[in-house]
Amino acid sequence: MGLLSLAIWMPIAFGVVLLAFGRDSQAGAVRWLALVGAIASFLVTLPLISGFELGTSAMQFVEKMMWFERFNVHYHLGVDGISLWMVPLTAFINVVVVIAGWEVITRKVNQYMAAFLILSGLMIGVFCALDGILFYVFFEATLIPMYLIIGIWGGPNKIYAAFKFFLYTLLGSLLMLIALIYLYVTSGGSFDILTWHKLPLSGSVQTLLFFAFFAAFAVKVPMWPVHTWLPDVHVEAPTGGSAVLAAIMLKLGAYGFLRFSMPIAPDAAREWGLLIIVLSLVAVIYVGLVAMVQQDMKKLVAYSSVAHMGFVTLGFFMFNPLGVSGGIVQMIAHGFVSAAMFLCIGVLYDRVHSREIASYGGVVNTMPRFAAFALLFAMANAGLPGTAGFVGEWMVILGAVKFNFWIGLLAASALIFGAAYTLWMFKRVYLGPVTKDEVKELADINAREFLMLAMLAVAVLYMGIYPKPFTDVMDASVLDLLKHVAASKLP
Amino acid sequence: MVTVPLVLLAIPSVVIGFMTIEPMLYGEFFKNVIFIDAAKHPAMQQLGELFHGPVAMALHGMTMAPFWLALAGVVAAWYMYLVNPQVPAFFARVLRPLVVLLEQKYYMDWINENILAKGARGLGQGLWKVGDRAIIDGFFVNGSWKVVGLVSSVVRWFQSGFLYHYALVMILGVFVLMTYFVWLA
Repeated sequence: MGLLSLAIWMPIAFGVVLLAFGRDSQAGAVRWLALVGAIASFLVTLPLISGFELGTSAMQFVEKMMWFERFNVHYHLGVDGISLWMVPLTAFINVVVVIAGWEVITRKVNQYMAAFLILSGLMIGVFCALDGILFYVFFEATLIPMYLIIGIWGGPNKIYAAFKFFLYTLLGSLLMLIALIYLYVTSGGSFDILTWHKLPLSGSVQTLLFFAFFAAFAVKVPMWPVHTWLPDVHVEAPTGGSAVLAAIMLKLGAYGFLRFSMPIAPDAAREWGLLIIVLSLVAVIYVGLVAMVQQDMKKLVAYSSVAHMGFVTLGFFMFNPLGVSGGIVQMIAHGFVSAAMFLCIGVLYDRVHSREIASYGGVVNTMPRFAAFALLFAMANAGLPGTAGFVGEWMVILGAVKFNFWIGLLAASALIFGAAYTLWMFKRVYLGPVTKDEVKELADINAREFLMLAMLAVAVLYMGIYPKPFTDVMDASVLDLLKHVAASKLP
Repeated sequence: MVTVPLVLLAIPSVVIGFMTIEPMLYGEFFKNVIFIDAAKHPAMQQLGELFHGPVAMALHGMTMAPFWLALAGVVAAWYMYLVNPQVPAFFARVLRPLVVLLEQKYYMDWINENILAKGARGLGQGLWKVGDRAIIDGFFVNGSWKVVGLVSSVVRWFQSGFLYHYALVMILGVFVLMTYFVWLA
């Protein structure tokens, strides 16, 4: 079995075993087995990084075998510089999330852990898939465990949130399915994504395909104006669900832009690039302002995620190496930082059972170790140099300024809004005197919570101080993609 | 408490200034490090021609307006705040608007808090409540499922539940299609 297949199916296998044999009476064993499965699934992804050959844009660790012969659908996997880091990132976040749900989830523990393990495997499948149908199957399949996570372990309005999430993202994806089928017919019966990259297509067809893919990926990212599902879902989802949703699932959409929209319809991508840039800037500025007035911490971080993902899509459609690389780096950095932010909110919610900023104040006095972690992650969210949050934003802003000064200026304003809402939230929650009784009685983080926050802190600082391993990997693939996008595919 | 450090800082400042002014500004200190194009930027060269040593510069400075104005300021401050405080009180009454402007730091803090910060928060509230909640969520998202529900509540009245009604409609439909394909197409 190839490494990529192992990375996909190992967590799924562990999840299925937990589903089949786990019981709430053996919750302890279930948790440990889930943790073992998550760690093993993460370790399996590490040889991908060490064995990855730099300087080439070709797909690596390729696996290909026939799946549905009748329709020429293959089980075709591979990673390049664009998708490589998403695989270990997904597996890493899965480990953190299993640790995060350790004591909090007491009902249907085996199903909860199984949902996350299976979800992790499916998401890795999305990033590795090189066959259109395989990509689609994994892309849609991720909706199911997340829907269950929100719908079963979520908050008071979980049913509305779960339905909204499922239907909203599914609707966009249906247009993508039509596009995939059209490409299958036009290419003479192939679902191979790399073949589609070379397929000549007329301008009008490219436009239709671009918007079909846009419908799916824009909802997933989420771009303005189809972003409103994210705050509702984050608020209702359990902490681990929010972390995985923000850290990985949003990146499925951004990845889709790079793997489908831009290389398959390059002429349409260039023609409509300004629209995407405008929507991204609106996401960055409009949503940044909206984030500032939120009273619910999770909603604030959710809107902050929309703004950060606006940076990602902005970087992609700059069509220069700094912008695209910056967007990919921002995807990885946001994966660490947003997961950390949601876990911090989860730590507070586990104790006080409130996400309202007004319920807190002066938390640093009673939980100093936790506040230190929260400060680091808040700074990373605001884009402080030395943390992961800075690297991607800086590269995207540089790329934007190279593209057009005024777009770069507007993008840079995001840094101000990001700092404003993050620091203001931090000040109101953590700093100042303790005025609430619930805050007076708070106990600092225990060893488990310390471990999960420390893991993310190390990742955030490492990426911020030494981002070279992340950027080196993607150089060749990004340049190849841009060369491809710059060339016309009109017949 | 601050006086002693100030004195301790002032003395070396004078000494260092005295020792370094000629070599640094007009001498060879920066000889191979800083290059000035005297043709385009003659200021330093002209100043150098008028410089006759640090003592001469200090003595000459004491005969010029800035020194006398600074001294006048010290004397005025001593008089106004130590001898006769009625004088600054009078000016504060007469020039009240100017005093307020300076005390409010040109209203920069007020502008920052009431226009920039409140404005941003107000704009954020408007964009959230009107843009996101009312228009996008209220009209488009929730509106779409409400429309589906509304249409369904009307359309369901067409379901009679009787098999023979459905069979009749199917036969009529086949008749229409056949009419179209046989006669008209």
